[in-house]
Amino acid sequence: MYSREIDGQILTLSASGWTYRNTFVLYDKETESLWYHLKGDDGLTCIAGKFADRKLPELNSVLTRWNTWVNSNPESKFLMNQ
Amino acid sequence: MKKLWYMLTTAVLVWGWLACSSSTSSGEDVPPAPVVQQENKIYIVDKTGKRWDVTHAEERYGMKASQFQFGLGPNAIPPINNPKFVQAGDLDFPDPNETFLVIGTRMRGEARAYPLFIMKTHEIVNDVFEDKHVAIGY
Repeated sequence: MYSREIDGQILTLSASGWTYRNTFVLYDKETESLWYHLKGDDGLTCIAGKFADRKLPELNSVLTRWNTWVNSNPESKFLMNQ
Repeated sequence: MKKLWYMLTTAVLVWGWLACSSSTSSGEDVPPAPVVQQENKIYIVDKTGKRWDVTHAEERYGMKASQFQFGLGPNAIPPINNPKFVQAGDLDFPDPNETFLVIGTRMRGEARAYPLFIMKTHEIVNDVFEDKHVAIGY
């Protein structure tokens, strides 16, 4: 999970349709900058576009199983199929 | 006759398996991105004809334009921008004994879970916790 706020602007992130070394390359709809999770880095780095070299920091999240998650977070909300 | 049928079926199955296994092995078989160079800029062109300037990615990060893959276009994997949630007690809330994988997070005092089976088809969820705008990626 990443922040998508930069210089007071809110970005809408999306898959660009590209992958690089089997990792999705993201872009933001507002500026069409490309964002990529560089190896060994935390957060996304803008590799091309208006925000070149800027970062979107990584935020805490866990990959776990639903039963484990909901047992320790019984009030958790759950994303619906849209 | 039965034997011949058996042999033919086996041959078709083996051929099919070979064809599948060679086309599913990693990204190696995906053709390199078409690269266009123009006025000291380097572009990759996706399947919709859209050009992406990757000059900075090459010069600053040593990425190779031709190693970008797929180029399905920006609308191929639509993100979820106004996510809707259910909670305990709602009809669609999953059984707490289910063991599928989720990305879980807690922000601004609220816990949310994003199942991978939804994340796989959208890649990104653009969400907000009170005033904090975040993107959940898979």
